[in-house]
Formats: sequence, structure tokens, C-alpha cells
Amino acid sequence: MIWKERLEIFMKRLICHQEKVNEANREQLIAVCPFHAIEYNNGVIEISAGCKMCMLCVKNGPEGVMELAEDESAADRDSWRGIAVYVDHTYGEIHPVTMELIGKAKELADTIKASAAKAKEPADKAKEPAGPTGKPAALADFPVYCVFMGHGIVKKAEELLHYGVDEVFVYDEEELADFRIEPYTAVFEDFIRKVRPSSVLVGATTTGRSLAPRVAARFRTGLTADCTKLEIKDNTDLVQIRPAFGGNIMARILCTKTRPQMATVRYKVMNAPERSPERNGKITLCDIDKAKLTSRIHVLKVTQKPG
Amino acid sequence: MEILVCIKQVPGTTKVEVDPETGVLKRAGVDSKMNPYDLYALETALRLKERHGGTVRVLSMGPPQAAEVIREAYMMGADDGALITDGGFAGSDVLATSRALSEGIKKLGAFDLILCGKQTTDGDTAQVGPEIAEFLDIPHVANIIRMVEIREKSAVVEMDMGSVVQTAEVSFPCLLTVEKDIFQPRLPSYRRKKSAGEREIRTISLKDLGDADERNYGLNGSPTQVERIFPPEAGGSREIWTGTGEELSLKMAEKLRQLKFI
Repeated sequence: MIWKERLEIFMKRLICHQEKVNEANREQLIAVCPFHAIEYNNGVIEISAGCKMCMLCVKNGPEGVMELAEDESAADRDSWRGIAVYVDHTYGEIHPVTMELIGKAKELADTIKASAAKAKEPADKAKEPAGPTGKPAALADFPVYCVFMGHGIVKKAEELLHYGVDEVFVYDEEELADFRIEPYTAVFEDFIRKVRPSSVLVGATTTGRSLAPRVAARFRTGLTADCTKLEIKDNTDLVQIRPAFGGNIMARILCTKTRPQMATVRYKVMNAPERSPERNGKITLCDIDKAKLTSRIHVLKVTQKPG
Repeated sequence: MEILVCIKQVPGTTKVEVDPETGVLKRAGVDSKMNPYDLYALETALRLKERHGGTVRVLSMGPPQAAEVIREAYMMGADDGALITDGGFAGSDVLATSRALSEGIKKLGAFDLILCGKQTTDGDTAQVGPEIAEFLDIPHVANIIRMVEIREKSAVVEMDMGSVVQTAEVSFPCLLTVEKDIFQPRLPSYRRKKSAGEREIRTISLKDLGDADERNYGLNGSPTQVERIFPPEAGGSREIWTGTGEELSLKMAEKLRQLKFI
């Protein structure tokens, strides 16, 4: 199957300019579809599931009636800001993949901030050089967040402030002492609903690979596993590059219709920033309804692996 | 004990290439097989059945020819199997696949335990198992390295968490993804092989699902889109060093650290 072509087509969408449909061209439009997917119901032209996106109606139908448009059933990009990093840890011991993801998140956020500043410049110059216009460009505010959930971790969260995070959201609850999927997912959900990060990065550790898909499914959003490269477009779409078929091909993956965009990244793929001696950013302690932290899993014991 | 195992048909080889000109995938052959990681999940299910009774059913999703992996599961001892197949599922990403599988599971009935392999060899994501559990609203535990005990209404399992191993009791119904080597998979039986060809395989299409809204499946129901595929860059850089064994070994160790290989 020539799936490259098919996919490119599916990122677009067929639209019908109803106002251009009239009695004279209606029958011609319906007849042009070899799959009988164009129907006239209750005064409007409808495209049924039989549509194979063959585009014959665009090419051979009445002029200007059918159009292939970029799919803009897109996400509400403006209300989702910043990049969040899940703090991967084992009983409070922060996994170093976390710092690597913070480094990447900062890089991506800087790209957005730089492009927002650039977009603002010409507008400012067009007016008089009277300094700031008062209202900052929409995306000049694109923070890097961390979400840290566990028990007895408040002190440990301070370490993250040495790596250039804007804000660390800490959920410190007894029920989160052990990694158990339902309470961890509930906390992650609570964080995303409150903070609305545009992208969420999770380390591809055994726990990260178990938690991230659960959260992605809850938000009915996309999750790309084991990205080896991450880039960001000016419109905040995350460009996720990952190997497939055992590394024999690379795929560039986008998630344009939903937010947050989620990706997992393996340890030692990205570079951690230098630890700065000063602390920047702040720690925010969060509360969550205890009723959301119930679990059907009981941890009986935890053993250190040899070596 | 009612057990369901999710299995997938994958290409027999990962040796695929992309035509750099057209960006189209060149598939070397058309031979395919059961995802090797799923064999461990199926073996786990069969052993549990042998000790505790019950049934082992398998579920797959794919084109009609994916019925072959269900037959393979019959040869190993599965009691029953179903295949979710419909043109409307073409192009499904992780979310759309998990939704279809979870709807298929609801269709088949109630299960105590759903088992999945740790990941597939073609997609490599390890995400479908946890997403199915979310759609079914049941707990899941991933990376199981040992089944410790089956109790009346729960399973005790050991989960690999990197530096530690967590032993946990999970209530039924639940979903577990098992690590490779949890058990040695058995070979297909000759006797079963002879009868597997005639055994029925139930097919489930989109309209059979409880949620039959086609916008939730296939490319339409997939939040991620593959924008482009391309061949990986070949690493062309090389360095030639000279020196004593000691110097070179130190230099080598330093270089490997720099490249994050160690």
C-alpha cells in the first residue's frame, strides 16, 4: 500500500461550498463520484463514509464547489501553553532522564518565545518606537513545568530548580508513596486540567511507559513513544521523530488535532543542562481530592535489584 | 478463570527500507508472524489455565489474513479466538487501536485477566496495553517478570521498575503486560495443528462494536499522524587514532562516554 500518499491526503479534508450548489450543477456533482458518496439530503450536499478521497469531485465536478482544505479541526492551540516534564522517580530518587527532558523542554520553549518575539517586532516598528506596546505577544509566555508526584518529596523538588524550570507542581500524598497506576493517572489528569500544558514529556522508563499511555488515553490524545528527536513549530505543534521497524525507518509524527501533545523519550537521548548553583522558578504544592486516589492495587513489598 | 490474550500479526522481518526519492516503504517480503512478545503472554495464560482452570481466548485486530495468528494460538492451546477486522480501522494509531480492541473485548464478554505482550516488534510502542486498560477502566500493571500467586479475586505479580522490583496484588478484572522470558513459550502441537484449520474464528467488524461511531477509529480516530517517513541518516563520521594500548583504551572509554553509549 502506498501509504505515504494516503496519509498526506488524510491530513486534509474535503469541504463543500453549499452556496455554490444549485439545481443546474447538483446532479453533475452527484454523478461525478464513482463511489456514490455524494448525497443530497434535506437541501444540503453530504459526503458519506463511502468517500475514498479520490478527489475526482474536486477535479471533475462543477467548478469551485468541492475543495480540499487543510484540516483545521485543529486543537485550540492558544489555551494550551508551555511544556511539562513528568518527574520520573523511584521512591523519591529522581531519575536523570528528568533533567534531560527539562533541557529539551527549555530548548523547545525558547524556540516558541523567540518566534513570538520575532513576530511582534515588525508590528512594533510599524507603530512609533514608543517602547513596549503593553500587551505581550501571545506566546511570549511559554513556561517549562515539572509535575512531581509521590510521598515525602517536597524537599527533593528543590533540586529541580537548579535546572531552569519555571514551576514545579508537587503532589505529596501518602497514597502516592508507591507507584500505582490509578492514583498516579488521577494526579496527572488533575495537573493537566489545571495547568493546560501544550506538550507533555515523559521519560521512557518502565514506569513512564506504563503511565504515559494511560494519561494519553484519558485525554483521548496522541502519544509518541521513544522519540529520538523533538522539534517545535511556531504554532506549538510538536514535531516528534522516532525510529520504527527496529530502526530501519524514521517517522515524523504530528498531533495537530488534540492537546496536550504527549511524547516519551528514552534515557541518554537528550542532553541535561548544567546544574546551576542558584535556584530559579518556584514550587507549588497542590491538593487533590483523596477520593481520586483509590486503587485496586496493593503493593506488598519492594525489593532492591541486585547490582 | 476467564483469560483473554491480545495478539498481533507483525511482519516476519524488520528489514524494511524507505525509497529516499518517493518516501514509500519498500517491504522486503509479505511473510508475517505472531508478535514474538505475545507468545510469552499466551504461554502465561495457558499455564494459568492448566493450574487454575478456566478458558483462554485470544483477540487480534488487523486485515483478514491476520486470522493466521489466531490459528497459531489455537495450535498452542487457546480455546477460542476473534479477529477485529474492517476497512474502517485502517490507519489506526495507538489510541484508535486501543479503543477498537477495548470495544472488541467488551463484545466478547467479561474477563478476570487480560494479558498482553510487553510491546510489538513493528510499532515498538508498548502503549496499547495500558490504553486498553484505561478504556475499560480497570487497573493495569506493566512489565510483569513473575506471576507469584493467583488468589480468589486477585493476582500477585512482580513488576520490574528499573532499580527495584515491586510485588503487588491486583484485583480482578485487570490487565497485565508481561516481560519476555516470564515463561518459555511452548511449540505448537502437531495434533492441534491438524484441527486448527477447521476451527472457527469469529470476526468482529466496526458496526458490531458498542461504540460504532466510525469517527473514533482508523485515521479519523487517530490523534497522531505520520507526516513523513524517511531512511535513518547513515553515520558517516570516523576517526583514526594512534597511540599505546593504554592511551587508546582511555580515549576509547572517554569517547564512548561522550556518545552516551556507557
